[in-house]
Amino acid sequence: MLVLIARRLLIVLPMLLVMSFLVFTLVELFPGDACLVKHEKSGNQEVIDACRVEHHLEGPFFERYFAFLGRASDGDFGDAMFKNESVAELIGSKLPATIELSLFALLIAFVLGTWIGTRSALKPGSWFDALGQIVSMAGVSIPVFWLGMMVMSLFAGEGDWFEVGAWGPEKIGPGIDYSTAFLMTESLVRLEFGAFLTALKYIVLPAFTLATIPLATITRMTRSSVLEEASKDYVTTARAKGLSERRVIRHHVRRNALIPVVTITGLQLGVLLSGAVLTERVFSWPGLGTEMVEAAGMRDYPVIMGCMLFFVIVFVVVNLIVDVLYLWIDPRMRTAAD
Amino acid sequence: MRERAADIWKSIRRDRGAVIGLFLVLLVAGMALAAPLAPYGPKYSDPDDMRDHPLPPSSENWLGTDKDGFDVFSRLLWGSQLSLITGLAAIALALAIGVPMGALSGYAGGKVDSFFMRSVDIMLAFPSIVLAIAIATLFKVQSVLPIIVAVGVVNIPTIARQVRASVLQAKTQEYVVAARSMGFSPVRILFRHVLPNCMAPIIVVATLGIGWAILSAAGLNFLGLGPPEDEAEWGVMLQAGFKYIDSGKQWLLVPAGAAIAVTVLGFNLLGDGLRKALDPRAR
Repeated sequence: MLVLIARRLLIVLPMLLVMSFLVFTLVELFPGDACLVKHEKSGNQEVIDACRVEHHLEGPFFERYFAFLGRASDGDFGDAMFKNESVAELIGSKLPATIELSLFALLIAFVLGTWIGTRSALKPGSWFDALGQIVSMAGVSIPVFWLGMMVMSLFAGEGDWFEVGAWGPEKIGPGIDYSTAFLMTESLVRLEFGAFLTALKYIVLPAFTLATIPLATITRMTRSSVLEEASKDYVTTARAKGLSERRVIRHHVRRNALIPVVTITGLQLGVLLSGAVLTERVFSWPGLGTEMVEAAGMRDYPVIMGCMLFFVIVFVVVNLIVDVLYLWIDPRMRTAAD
Repeated sequence: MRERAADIWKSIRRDRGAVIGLFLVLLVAGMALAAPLAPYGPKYSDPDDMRDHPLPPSSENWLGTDKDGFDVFSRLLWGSQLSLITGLAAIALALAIGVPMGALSGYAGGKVDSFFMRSVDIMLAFPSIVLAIAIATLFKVQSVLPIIVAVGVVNIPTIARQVRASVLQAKTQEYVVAARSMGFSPVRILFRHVLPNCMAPIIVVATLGIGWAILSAAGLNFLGLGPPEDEAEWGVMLQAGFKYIDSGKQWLLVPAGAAIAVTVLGFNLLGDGLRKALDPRAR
């Protein structure tokens, strides 16, 4: 199994390399010039040239790409052009919010989706099944940003329980000295339940909104997977042994049926991150997506590049984890891959 | 062929979801065709009108007006044209590149296959919106064109993979072996014999792709990467309406979003229905 993981890791590195080149090239091709925009008023050519040198925009393409790679491997992604921050700091403060939002949404979708899917499969054709199918159809058809707006105008008025907007350490837990930007997780780990509850007030609406996207796929997948498993011989045997229906479903059917669902859940991450960009925008969530869209509008090259790269890295790493998880859940895969 | 078409039609007619899907798609197509009959133009405002817009729905403006004094109902109708054009054009672009790519990959195999499939893998390793935002930013113009290209390109991998899988399967069929033994050129075999037999899954993927393309395009437009803010486009209308979210002006938010949802739902239901009709195993 270790060999398998090592092999997967070996594929990831060149892939990241190719993707970093692609990202670099794309950003290079963006029209407009942030240095010109930034120093437009002064109109001083020397200032503009100095800005171009400072942000590594002068010189031959490949030379700059390799210099960029060298700096990036040291964790230096340059400085933001319109903010007084380095890109690494910026990403360090924004990425955690995106990760917490995405994972929380994925958790909601997984719990709800497997529950709805299992119940639907056990009584195909029932009203619950019909409801489940409507929910999953709606999940892939309703624009997530619009759903967010509707949810917001319904549940986030004045005097409502939920909070909307950018959370921050001072809003979540005044007086707590957070050492990371994973505000919700850190509040929970530090057993600061008041702060955790406040964090929940902020995250619940965007997370449920975002969850509708993977929820659809997970529900569908669970339903068909449970249906397939339930018709197998070992399930009949389990029933024949006189096991309670509850036990048959929980211990026999569900375990096997969830294997493909786990894979699907992992693969949903790409869609989820895409949805996260839109959801963040609607809920003014202080994450990487909001940052990237703003930077793209201003042509803030270092920031766009950093954000794109980190979206890619998160995506690739999670896919790697899913692959490993898959080997761990389903022993058959191990022998098949050896 | 005609018998087959009749068979498919019969299967769709029996499938409630597919019928609803077809109805919704026809409804939106009808909206697009009827747009010139709308009460007002997409960017019409009365120059003598001094009232404070946006105004709530009234007998004059069925769905109210937006901040420029434009009639929301009329813009909703006009917007269906842009949405359909965007979705269809994006998928046409994805098909134009994805089909030859997948077909060559599947039919030629070897190095060609490896090269195309690795390219597809790399594209799939980007969260689609990240790639789409980057591509849309490449354009200087503020219009639907960047959006069409971005969404189209992002859709290539799905199409290419589906076509490759179908071609791989069709390639081993007897009629292909027969065509080869008759000395036909590979290009002729691929385009005259193999591809026509792969049409069914391509149609399904394309139909579902149109829904997805309209949804993604609306998202990109909402982010402000597409046409300017006064364009009669559903995503753009939502972007403009979003500024009024706290003031309860629901007519700026509900109609445009519902229109997107209904359109996408239509294509998704129709696509699912087609899949069931074309692939008897999925029934």
